[in-house]
Amino acid sequence: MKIIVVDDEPIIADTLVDILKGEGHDAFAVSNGAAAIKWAEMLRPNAIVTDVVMPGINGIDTAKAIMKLLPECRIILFSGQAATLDLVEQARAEGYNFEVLAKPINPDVLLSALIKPHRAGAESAAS
Amino acid sequence: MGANPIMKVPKPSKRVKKDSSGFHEVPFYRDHAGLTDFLENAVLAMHSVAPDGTILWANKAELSLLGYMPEEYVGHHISEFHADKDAIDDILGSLIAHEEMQGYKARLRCKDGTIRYVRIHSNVLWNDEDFIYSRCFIIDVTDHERRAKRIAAQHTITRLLAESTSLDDVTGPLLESICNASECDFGTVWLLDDLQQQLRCVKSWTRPGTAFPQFENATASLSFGKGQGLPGRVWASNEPAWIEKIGLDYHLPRGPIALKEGIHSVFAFPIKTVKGPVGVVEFFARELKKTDDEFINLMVALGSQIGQFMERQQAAEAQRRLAAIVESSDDAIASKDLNGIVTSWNRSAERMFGYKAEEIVGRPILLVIPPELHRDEDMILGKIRRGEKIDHFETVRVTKSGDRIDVSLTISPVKDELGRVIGAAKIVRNITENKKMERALRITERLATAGRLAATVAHEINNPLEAVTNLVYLAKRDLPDVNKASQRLELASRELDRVAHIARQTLGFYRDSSSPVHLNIGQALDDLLSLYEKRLEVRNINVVKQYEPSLEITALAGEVRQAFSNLISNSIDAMPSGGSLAIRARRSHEWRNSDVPGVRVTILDTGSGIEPRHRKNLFQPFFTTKADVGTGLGLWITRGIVEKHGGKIHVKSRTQAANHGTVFSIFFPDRVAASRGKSSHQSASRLIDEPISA
Repeated sequence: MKIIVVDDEPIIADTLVDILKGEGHDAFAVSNGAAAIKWAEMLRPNAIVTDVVMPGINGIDTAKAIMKLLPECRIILFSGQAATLDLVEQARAEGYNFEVLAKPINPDVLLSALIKPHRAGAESAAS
Repeated sequence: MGANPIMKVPKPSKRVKKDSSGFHEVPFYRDHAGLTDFLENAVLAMHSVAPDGTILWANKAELSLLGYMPEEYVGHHISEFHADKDAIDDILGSLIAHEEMQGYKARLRCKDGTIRYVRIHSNVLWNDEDFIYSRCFIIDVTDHERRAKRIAAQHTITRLLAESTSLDDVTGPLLESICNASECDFGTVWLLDDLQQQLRCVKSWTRPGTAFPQFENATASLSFGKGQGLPGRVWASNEPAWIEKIGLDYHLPRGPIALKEGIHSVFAFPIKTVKGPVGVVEFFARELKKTDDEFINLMVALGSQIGQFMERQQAAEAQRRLAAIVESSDDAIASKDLNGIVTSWNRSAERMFGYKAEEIVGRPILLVIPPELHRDEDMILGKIRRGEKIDHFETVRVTKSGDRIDVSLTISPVKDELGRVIGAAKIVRNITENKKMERALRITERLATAGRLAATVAHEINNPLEAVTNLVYLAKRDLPDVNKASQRLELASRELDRVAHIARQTLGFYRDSSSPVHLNIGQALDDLLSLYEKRLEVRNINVVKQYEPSLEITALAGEVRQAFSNLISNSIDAMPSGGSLAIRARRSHEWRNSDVPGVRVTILDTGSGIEPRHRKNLFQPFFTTKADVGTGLGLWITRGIVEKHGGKIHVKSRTQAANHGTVFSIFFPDRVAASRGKSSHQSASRLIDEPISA
């Protein structure tokens, strides 16, 4: 799969890309939402794995923007904050389907989530 | 006996001529003309009456006293001139029965219609059983009689007004008393109907045996405005009025009716009070009454007396109402004199303290003050003596059963009519429940803060942990390559350091902080800024720090950190899309009391500012302008912490487009101010002397 990883902490974005590449995925790291949208337009990835709380445009708005461009793209939100769930519910009410994973997540869990087909109204995989 | 005016007198016997023992012959006695002159021209009134009552003779004095010409008097029946018809029957009856009259009181009618009081001294010339004629002397006692009657009336009225508590009870006897004293037949009291500005008749009295049906009716049904009718005129002028003879030219509404029913004279006087006349008293007489200045003066005095009576009644009524309000109030209300002795104690005070009014009135208020606070009472009395009021003074009191209660007192000086302070009135509110609630609220906020902090910490820790998780996974995967694995583990180690640092910091907030410790202000502020680093970055907030070196205070570290944390957090919330946060800390002194050294920390943000209308509620519990975040308790808690340490907190804010932002300024003394053991009490003394400005 072609995956863009978005996180403002380089150590997280880079290690995630490393893990994904090791499993054969085509992964790229960006550190902010604006860059993610630009790259998504160009690369047309299959999935986005993005942090929620970031400086500038946050993960959810980034995700919404990318969804508009690529309706078939899977969006996995990655967050260390419980408040994210409310925002996700809100987005769901607006018609967006995002998956949510809580930091810190065991990489195996993330990998298996990516392989499993995405179901409409997917539940969040709690760690 | 005929109409012969010349009396037949017996010849006087000859008197013995003077001898050496000294008897002189008095010339007139022998001389008929002399005797005639003597009797005719003496100043004492004399007359003689036939047994059938015909006046045989009357001297000049008598004619003059009564105002008659000889032909109008002599030869007429004596009963024509007595005001009381049965008097003459009485007199003649006694004389015929061979009795002598000594000082018989009677009333005689003068030609002009007025009455004179007289005493009649009389005896009879008898010829065997024949009543020849009477010898009558008349002493005019009118003045004496009138005066006596008036004095009696005055005494009666004074007594009536002193003993009575309602005007209603008193008006009837009052009218009767005055009517009797002045020989009037009808009296009325008019009172001002304040709402409509009209005089209405509230009471009238008619002499028994007389009746003026139409006049009474008219009086009862009419009302007079200012200047209308006699009552209205007296009201307007506030002076008495006396009409000797009611004539139609007086333009009195009831004039014609009065004349028809035989009323001739009227006088009226106003009931005077400090605020002006409140009523009029009127008296009517069938017989003509001549203007009598002495009587007028009496009535004017009486008018004032009645007025004062009414004022007293109103004051008593007002006082009763006030006492009823105080007694039934839900607030405990008590009063004391300047020596601290309880002078009043209402029902709610009884309930609050357990002492009944009888048990505590007359005893010192110190009974309900805990011993260690007795000095407070001196301070309170001192302020009261200076005429100062004490508002919402929070302190502790003790009930009869020994329980302590938290109370809030409002104490006001009580002054006499000269403005001198004579005591104090206090309203006592039991705030024990309030205080419990406040304590609960503080705990809630602390828990909420802990929760928020925990959320922040969790977030701060989650990222490094995420990194470590990934690095360990990669290290395992890369293991055959020792170098690469080693690099991963090195990075993981550093991330774990970060975690440790954050954990240490935040746990530091919750160390047991029940006793003051040395706290480095700069360090505490830096710790907080470090904790909020991410939030500051995300919002693009520029931080400027300016700390003087080695700023230390002795305080409850956790609470002081919480106070700063609240303010910094608020500043961050105020700048969602960027701004500047400036924190300054320096040595300083308390604003008003330069003896107290300490540290001043100012926290400035360039957020939208606090609107003036919110300013006064800023430190109230549950006040918040944040739509969905927070409990609204942050600033209230912060102020509580500052006050607990004996410090001060001020805020300034601007909301203009070109100039907006908020500055909080906190002063902490180097050392927590000496506490008396109860934090509520400490904040209480702050409340009296130096109100927090916000």
